[in-house]
Amino acid sequence: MTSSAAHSIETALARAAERPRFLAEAGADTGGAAGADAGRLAANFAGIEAELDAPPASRLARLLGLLGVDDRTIPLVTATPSLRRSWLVSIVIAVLFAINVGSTSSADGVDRIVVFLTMAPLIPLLGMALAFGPAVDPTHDIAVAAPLDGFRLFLVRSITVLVTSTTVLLIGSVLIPEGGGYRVAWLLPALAVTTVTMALATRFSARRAAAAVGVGWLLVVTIVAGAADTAAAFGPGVQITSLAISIVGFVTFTRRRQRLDALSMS
Amino acid sequence: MTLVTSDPALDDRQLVQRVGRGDRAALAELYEQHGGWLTIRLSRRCGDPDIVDTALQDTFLAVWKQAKDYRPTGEVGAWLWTIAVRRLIDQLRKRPPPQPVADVQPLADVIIHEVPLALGHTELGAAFGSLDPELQAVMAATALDGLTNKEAAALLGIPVGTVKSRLSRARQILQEVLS
Amino acid sequence: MNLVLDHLRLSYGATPALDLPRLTIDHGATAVLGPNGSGKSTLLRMVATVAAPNTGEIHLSGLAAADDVERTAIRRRLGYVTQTDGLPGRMRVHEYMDYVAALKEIGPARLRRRWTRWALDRVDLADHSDAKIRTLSGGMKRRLSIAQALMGSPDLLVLDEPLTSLDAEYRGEVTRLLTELAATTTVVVATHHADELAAVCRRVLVLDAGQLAFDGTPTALAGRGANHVWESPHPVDGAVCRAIGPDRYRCVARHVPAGTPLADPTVGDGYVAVVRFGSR
Repeated sequence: MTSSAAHSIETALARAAERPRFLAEAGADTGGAAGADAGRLAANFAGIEAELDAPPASRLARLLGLLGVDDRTIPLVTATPSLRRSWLVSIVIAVLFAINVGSTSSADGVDRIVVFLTMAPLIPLLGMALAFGPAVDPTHDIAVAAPLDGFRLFLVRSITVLVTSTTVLLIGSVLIPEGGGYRVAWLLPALAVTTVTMALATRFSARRAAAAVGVGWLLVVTIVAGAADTAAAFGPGVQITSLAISIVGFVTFTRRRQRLDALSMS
Repeated sequence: MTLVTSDPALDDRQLVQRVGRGDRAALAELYEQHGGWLTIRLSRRCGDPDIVDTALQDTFLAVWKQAKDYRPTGEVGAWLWTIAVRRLIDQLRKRPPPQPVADVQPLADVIIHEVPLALGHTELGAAFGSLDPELQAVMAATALDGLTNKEAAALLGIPVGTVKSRLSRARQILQEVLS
Repeated sequence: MNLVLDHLRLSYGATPALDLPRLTIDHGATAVLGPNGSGKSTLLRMVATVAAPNTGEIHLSGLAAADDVERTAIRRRLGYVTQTDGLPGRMRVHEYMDYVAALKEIGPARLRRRWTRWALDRVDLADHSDAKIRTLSGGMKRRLSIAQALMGSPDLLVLDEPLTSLDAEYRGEVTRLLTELAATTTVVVATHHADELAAVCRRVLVLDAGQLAFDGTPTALAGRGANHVWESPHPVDGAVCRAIGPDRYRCVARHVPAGTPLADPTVGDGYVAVVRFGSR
């Protein structure tokens, strides 16, 4: 309940508010510290024009914004070289091929999808090889000369590669008619090979690291499948080992983060 | 040669109509007319010029979108101010400015430069002046700027409950002083 | 903004690619001239903290490029234009600028848009901000490369051949822009355009096979061509000649044919004299 005294004051204030320009210009501080000098006014209008004229953000940038990705990270993601449509198309084709090859063989169980499972962790490695280095990234030198932490850029790109690859691969996994839980047995190994590549990339080029790890993975699968059977190559033992390797790989990567800035300098 | 008398209020309303139809030159003209005083009033409510600049830009970006829905009810300036003060509050909610210095009155420049124009050297002005500074601030924020309690809280950087209790305290004191 | 290059040396195996004395570069524009393979790009890459010397140190305003933390501080004040455009064809102009702004740690998005607009305006590309980079002409791509370096108003601008692929009109525009920037920024520019660009710089360094062959003003460099330049209606064996009109060649050689009137040497002539026969 408003008292009539307060009511009078509040009414007087509200009436004055109907002429805000007068309230601004009749005060003694206009043009001084609170004043708006011509330069500042012009700069602010330039800001307004820049916003009005700015071309719309790409669909991916808008999607990332909706997903809550930090405003300073979005341009780093959308500029990742391997987001090239052709790369995405080729991994889709490769995945379809692998699923198809598996399903036409006369083997059963996990053997039917072994090609897919073996190939799947190579996809993020391919992405890593194609995401870094002056050969595939024309902006490489500019990025090195920029203040942004090389580690942060590398991490953002690696995550982008991993998320894109695993999304396509998961869709592929869902499409495989049989194999049960083994259909996603590539997931932890894919994570492991990626983090090991990241760790090695603090010492060697990302491309060489990815190639070496890719060969290493194929050797591991061949040896384990040869020594035991195919199921063991993707069984619980391998899964747990992959998880452990992922953690070690990631920790090594973060601990050697300083090397990424110096390494990218040639 | 005929002497053309221009009515600034009519000009303003026409400008807003043109902005509503997508006329960038009209927006530039509207900014030319009103950008200065808006900056002054915003600066009285926030000491951080970067926040004021962003709020001012946001105001005209909002005007660009909302101009076609503008229905004239009083000064165009009053409509612009309701947009501007809320854009300022949006910014303050995103990045709270540093804690105000202990012995500096909140909204000091508003109290000094704007309230006297509203209340003058009357009994009302004297009564208002007798209130404690924080009480003056909440009353100015709600009555002069037409803010809700929540908005006033955001502007002053205090909890909503504090706004409510200070407002009722202010009204109580005024009742005692003026009766 | 004081840049100190202290005895920089870089070798690939036995061949020294760069071997310089101590150099201090103050603000204003410094041109680096030299034939291909002289070490120009190598030097600029070091100044831009993209490459490291084998020995020697680089300091910008006291910050050491060799130190991890200080190098990042240097990079905050740096703008770099590479020799090859370094532009991803599939991106749009504004997306590329947004990306570089993010690399320069400019944020939030609105501030990046402000800088993008401002930088594109300065190189006259604002109308093309929504174009895909691969649709731009060679000259426009060059201007875009320069625009990205300008964002954030760096204290040190390193430009490797900024005038290549630009037509005469834009060469003049960019030269004017660089002269303007040189008033408040330290500009180090590698160029072939001795008479158009080096001539308007405060200081010229000439590199030859990694060594410093000249360090002085453009006028002094032109002076090295004195008594070595003449005009001839046809190219002359044993001299470096370039066509400047139909049946008109400008020639530079150690010995001018007897009786031929000497021409006033330009900066470009002096450069040829220094590099070709070590004119002193």
